Amino acid sequence: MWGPGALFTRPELKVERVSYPVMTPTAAIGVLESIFWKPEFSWVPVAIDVLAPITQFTQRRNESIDIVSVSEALAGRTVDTAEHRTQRHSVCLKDVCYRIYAHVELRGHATNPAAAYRGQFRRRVERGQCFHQPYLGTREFSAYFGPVDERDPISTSMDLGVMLHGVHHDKAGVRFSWFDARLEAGRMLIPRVGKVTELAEA
Amino acid sequence: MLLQRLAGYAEENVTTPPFHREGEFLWRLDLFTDGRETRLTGLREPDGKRRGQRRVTPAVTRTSGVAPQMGADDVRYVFGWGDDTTEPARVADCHARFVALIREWSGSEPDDAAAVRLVRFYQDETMPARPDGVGAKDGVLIAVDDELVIHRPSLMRFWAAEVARRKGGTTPQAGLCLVCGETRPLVDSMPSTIAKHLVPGASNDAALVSVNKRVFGYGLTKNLEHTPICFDCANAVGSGLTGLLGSRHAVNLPGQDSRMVWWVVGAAEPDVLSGFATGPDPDQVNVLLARLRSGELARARELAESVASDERFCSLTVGGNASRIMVRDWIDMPLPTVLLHLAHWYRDMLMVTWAHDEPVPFGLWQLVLATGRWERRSGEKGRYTEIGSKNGRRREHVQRDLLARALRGYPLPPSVLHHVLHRIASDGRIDAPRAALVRLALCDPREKESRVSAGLDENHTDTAYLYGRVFAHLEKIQYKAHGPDVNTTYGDRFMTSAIGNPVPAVLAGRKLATAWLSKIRRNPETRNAEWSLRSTLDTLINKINPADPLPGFLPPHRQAQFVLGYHQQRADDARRARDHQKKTATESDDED
Repeated sequence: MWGPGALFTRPELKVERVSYPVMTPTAAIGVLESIFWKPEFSWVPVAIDVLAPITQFTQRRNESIDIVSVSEALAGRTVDTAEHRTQRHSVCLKDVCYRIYAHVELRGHATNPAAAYRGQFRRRVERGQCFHQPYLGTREFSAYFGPVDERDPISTSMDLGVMLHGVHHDKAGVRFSWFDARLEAGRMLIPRVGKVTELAEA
Repeated sequence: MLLQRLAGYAEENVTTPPFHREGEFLWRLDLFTDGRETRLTGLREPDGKRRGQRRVTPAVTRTSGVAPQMGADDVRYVFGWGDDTTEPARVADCHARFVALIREWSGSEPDDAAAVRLVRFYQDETMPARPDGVGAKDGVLIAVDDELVIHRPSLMRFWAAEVARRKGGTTPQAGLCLVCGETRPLVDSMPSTIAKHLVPGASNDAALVSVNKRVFGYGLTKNLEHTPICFDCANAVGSGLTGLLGSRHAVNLPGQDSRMVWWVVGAAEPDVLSGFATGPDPDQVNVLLARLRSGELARARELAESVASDERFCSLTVGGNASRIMVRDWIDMPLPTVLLHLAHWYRDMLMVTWAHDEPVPFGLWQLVLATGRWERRSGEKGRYTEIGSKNGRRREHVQRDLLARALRGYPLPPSVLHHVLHRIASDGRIDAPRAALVRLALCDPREKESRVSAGLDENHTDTAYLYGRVFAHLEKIQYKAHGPDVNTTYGDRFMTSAIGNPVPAVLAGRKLATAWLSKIRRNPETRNAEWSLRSTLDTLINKINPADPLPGFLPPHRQAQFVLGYHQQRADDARRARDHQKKTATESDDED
C-alpha cells in the first residue's frame, strides 16, 4: 500500500502532531479492515516492510475544537468552526509505501477456515475493492493498495521508541498495549501481544 | 524517540534538581534563630536596572489557578502584597496557600529548624515594612540563618511529593511510561513549561506535551490520561529541552519563526558542526569535502544506516503557538548521514569572493543576513539590515529552509531563489553570500557532482551566464574610464532591468563602452589597458551563441545564471588584479 502522505501520530505529541517514522500496527489493521473484514475473524499484523525512503513534510492548518454530542446534533446544533477555530501543526510522512504481513485469526463463531477469508481478501485486493477508502493514519491521507510485489525494503535500521500495539475496550474502560518498536533493515516486527500494564493507583 | 532523546540529554547534561527552574529574584527575606531581627533586602543590581539574582528554585507549571511554589515565590505569595493590577481577594488566597504549604512542610519534617522558624514567622511575627517600588510579581528568596531554604534536603523531599500530588491528577495512577518503558507513577499534566523567551512565537511559557482540549485526546479526554509519562521522564524532558534551547547548540536568529537545537549522541562532537551556524572553518570544511570526494562519507552513511549506528545526530526545531510548542522539524539520524548532507551543503555553497583567491564557505547567519535588504549609506559602507528588524524584508522561514538543506539534504524551495533574486533586483547588490545562496538553489544535493562551479567557469556557455559576465566587464570598463567617483554607474542604472532581461542593458552598455574605451585610450595612464579591455569584451560577446537567444523575460533559474556570471567575473577580475599587483611588487623588489 502506498500514498502521498501519512501521519501516524505519536501519543506523546498528539496535539501539535508528530508522526512515527513507520506505520503503526493499529493503522495497518485499519487499512486491512477497510478492505475486508467480517465479525468471524480479526487481523493480526506480524510485520511491516518499509519500501520507500522515510521523508517528512510539515503542514499547519485550521482545525475546530468544537464538539457536538449526538443529542445536541439531533437537536439541531452544528459545529461552529468560525467561533472555535485553532491552528495546529503536524510533522507528516511523505510518499510512503508499505508491505503488511498479517494473519487472519478466527473467532469462536467462525464457520469457514481462515484460508477462505484470506482468499476473499486477496480477490478484493486484486479487484481494488474496499468498504471505504483506507487511509494512512489520518483520513486526510488516503491510501492506495494493490497485490503484493517483491520489492526489497529500504536498508534503514533504527529504534522507534515505545509504539502503540493495540487498543482494548473492556468493561473497565479503554486499555492500551505497547511494544518497543524497531526498524531492522526496513522491516518492523510486531510481537504477538504488547506490553499491558494495568493502571494502578500510584 | 524525541522525548527519549530529550530525557537522555537531561540525564547526561542537566544538573538542575527535579521540578526546579531558574527564575529572577529581586528580594531576599532573612530570618534568624539566634534572635537577630528579620530583614528584607533588595537584590537589584546597583546600576538601577530591574535585574535581580537568577536562581534555580522549586517550581512547576502554574497556569490560571493559585499554586504556591516552595521556599521562594513572588511577593503576592510570600507577603500577600498586591498592587494596582491584582485582585485583593486573590492575593490573600495566594498568601494563605503559601503559608499553608510551609506549615505542611514543617508538619512533615518537624525536626527541620528552618521550617519551624518559618512557621513561627508567619504565625507570631509581623510582616516587614513594605519597601517602595515593590511589584506584586517580584520574586522573593527566603533564607534562615543565612542559608536559602530552597537548599534544605527536607524541602526538596517535600516538594517532590507535593508535585506528585499536584500533577498526578485526581486519582494518581501508575503504569507503563512511554518514554522509559518502565512501570512508574504517571503525570496527569507536564510539571514544567519552557520559558517563552526560548520559543519564538510563544506568547506564554510553552509546553511540548499537553492535551488541553477534549477534541485532541483519545476518546475525547483531556490531559495525559492516554499518554502515559512518568514523573521522572516528564521532569527530564522539560529540563532537557530547557537546557538545549538555552545552550550554545541553539540556532535562533531574531525575526525567524523557529529555534533549532542540535546535539550528538554516542560520539564526540565533530568540529565542523560547531562553526556551522556562525562561521565555518575553511580547513575543517576542506577536510570534510576531501572525505566526500574519496567516497568515505557515502560508505560510512550506508553502513551506519544499515546497522543502526549508535552515533546519532539529533536536531529539534521548535516554534511557539500561544502556550504550546510545535515541532517544526525533528531529526534523529546516524551522524555520518548528517555529515554527508553537510558535505553536500558546503560543496554546493562555496563561492569565490572579491577578496579571496579560493572559494570560501559561509555560516548560516551570513546567508540569512544576505536575504535581507541592503542599505546604502551616503559616505559610509553599505550593510544588510539587521536580522530581526521589520524592514529587513526577510522571509521568516528562510532559516528553516536552509537548515533542511544543510542537515536533511532537501533541495532549497523555489521561494528562496525567487526571494533572493527579488532582493538583488531591488537593492542592486550582488555579493558572495547572495551568489552562494543562488548557487545552493541551483544545485540539487542528491546529485553526485555540483552542477554549478564555485568560481568563474570559462567553458560555461549558458547565454544568461555570459550576459552576466559581459555586464560585469562593461562595469569594469566604465570604472577604468571614470574612476570610482561616478554618481550613477552603469550597474546602478541597468542592473535591475538586466536581471530580468539583460539584452537591452548590454546593448546600451556596448554603445556607452565606445566612449569609455576612447577616454581610456586618451588618458596616458590607462592607455595600455584599452586594447586588453576591448579584446576581452569582444571575446565575451563572441562566446554568446546567436542560435540560443534569450527569451523576453528570464525565468528564475536563468536569472540566477546571470547573477552568477556577473559575480564570478568580478571576483575573477579582482583575483587577476591581485596577481598583477603581486607580480609587479615582486619585479620591483627584484630590480631594487
